[in-house]
Amino acid sequence: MEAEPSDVLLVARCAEGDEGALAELYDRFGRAAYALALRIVRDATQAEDVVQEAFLDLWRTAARFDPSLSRPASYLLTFVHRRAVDLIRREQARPQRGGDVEDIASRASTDDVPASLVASEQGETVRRALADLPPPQRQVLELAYFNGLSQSEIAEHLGEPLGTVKSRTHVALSRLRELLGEGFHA
Amino acid sequence: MNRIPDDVAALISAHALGALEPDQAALAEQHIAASDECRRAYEDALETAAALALAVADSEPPADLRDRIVAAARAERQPVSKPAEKAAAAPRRKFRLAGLLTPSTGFAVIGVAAAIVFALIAVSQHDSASSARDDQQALVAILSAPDAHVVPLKSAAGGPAGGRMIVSGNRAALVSSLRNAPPGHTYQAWGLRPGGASPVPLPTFSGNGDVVILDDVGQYGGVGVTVEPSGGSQTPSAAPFAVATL
Repeated sequence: MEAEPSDVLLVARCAEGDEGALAELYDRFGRAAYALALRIVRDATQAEDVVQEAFLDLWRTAARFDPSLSRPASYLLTFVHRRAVDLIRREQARPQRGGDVEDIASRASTDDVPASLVASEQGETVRRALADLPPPQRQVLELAYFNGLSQSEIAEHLGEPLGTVKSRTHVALSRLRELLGEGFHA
Repeated sequence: MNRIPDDVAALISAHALGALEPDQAALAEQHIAASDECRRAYEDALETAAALALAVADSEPPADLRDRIVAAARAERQPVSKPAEKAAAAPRRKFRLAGLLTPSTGFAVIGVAAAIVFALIAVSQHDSASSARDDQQALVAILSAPDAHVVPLKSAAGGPAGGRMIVSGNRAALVSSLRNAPPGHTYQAWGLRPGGASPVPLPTFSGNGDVVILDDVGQYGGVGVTVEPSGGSQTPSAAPFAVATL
C-alpha cells in the first residue's frame, strides 16, 4: 500500500511532461509488463513493441488518468494483456493456441522460479494461489488469460458446454481473488 | 445494493480476462456503463486479472527498451495536449458533452434548444480551437435542422447498443453512451456500404458522452461501431457490434 501514492504521483508527473517519471514507472513495472507480453505473444520483438505501446499510452493519457478507477500497475498490465491478446488473435491460427497450454501453476512447486526480486514475491503469492485452485478452474483462467482464448473457444477446446465454461471462469476468478486476499494487487 | 445476476457477473469476469468475442464484450460494456455495482465488479475483476500477470516467470527485457520508450515519449513532447489517437482516415472530429449525457438520459431530445446544447459542449480533446468551433456549429446545425431524426445504434440481436445518431441531410452526430473503451483500445465508426463493399473508416471515439460528427453519411447504408486498437484501423477487426441503419 505504501508505494501506491507514489505510483499515482509518477503518473501525474508524466502528465506534466516529466520523462524521468516515466522512466521510474518503467523501472517498477517494465519487467512484469515485458514478461507478460512475452508469455502471450512468444516473440521478443512483438513483446517489446507491446510494452512500449503500453508505456506510451500511459504517457499520452496521463492527464486523464483516474486513480480511483485503476492503479497504474494494473492499467499497464491490462493494456499489455489486451494488446498482446489482440496480436495473437490476429496472427495465429486459432486451433494452435489451445493446443499449447503451459501450466503456470506447476512452476510454483519447482525450484526454477527466480525468487531474487521484489516482484517475484508477489509472483510467488499468485502462483501459490493458482496452485490452490481446483485444476479445472486454473485451466480456464490460463486458457483465457495467457492463451487468449475466448469463452466459446475454451468450451470447444475442452469439449464442455459454454455455460459450464462461463460459470467456471467466474467462480475461478472470484476464488482467486479470495485466495489472494483483499489487500493484494498487482 | 442490487445483486448482480449470475450471468452478468460471469460476463463481467470473462470481460476482465479479455475472453469475450466483440459482441459479448460490447454487452459487458453496457452493463458496466449502466450500473455502479457492475462497474465495481469489473474493476475488482480487472485487478485480479492483472495479478495473474505476476504469475509469469520473470523475463529480462532488453537493456535498451527503457531508453527507447523514454526517447519516444520525448519525441511526443506534450502529453497533455497531444491527442491519444490518430483518426485512421477521416479527420478527427469529436468532442465531449461534459458529463451530462448519461446512458439513461441519453440524447433522445432533439427538441433541446440548440443554444443550451451548445453551452454544454466542453471542448476538451480538440486539435484546434477552430475545428472545435466547426464541430460545435455542425452539431447545432444538425440538432436544429427540421429534418433531424434519431437513429438508434442496435446490437445484432436488435437491442439498444451504446448510443444513437442524430441525422440531418447528409450529416450525422453520433452520440456514444458506451463505457470508455478498454485500455489500449478505442471505438471506431465505420461507413457501411451496400453490396458487400469494404467499410469506410470513420473517426474513433473513446466512450460515454463522446460525439463524433460524420460527413457524407448519405452514401452509407448504415454506420457500424467496432472496438479497435488505439489509433484506429483501416479495416474493422471484427463485425460491428452496433449498427445504425440509415
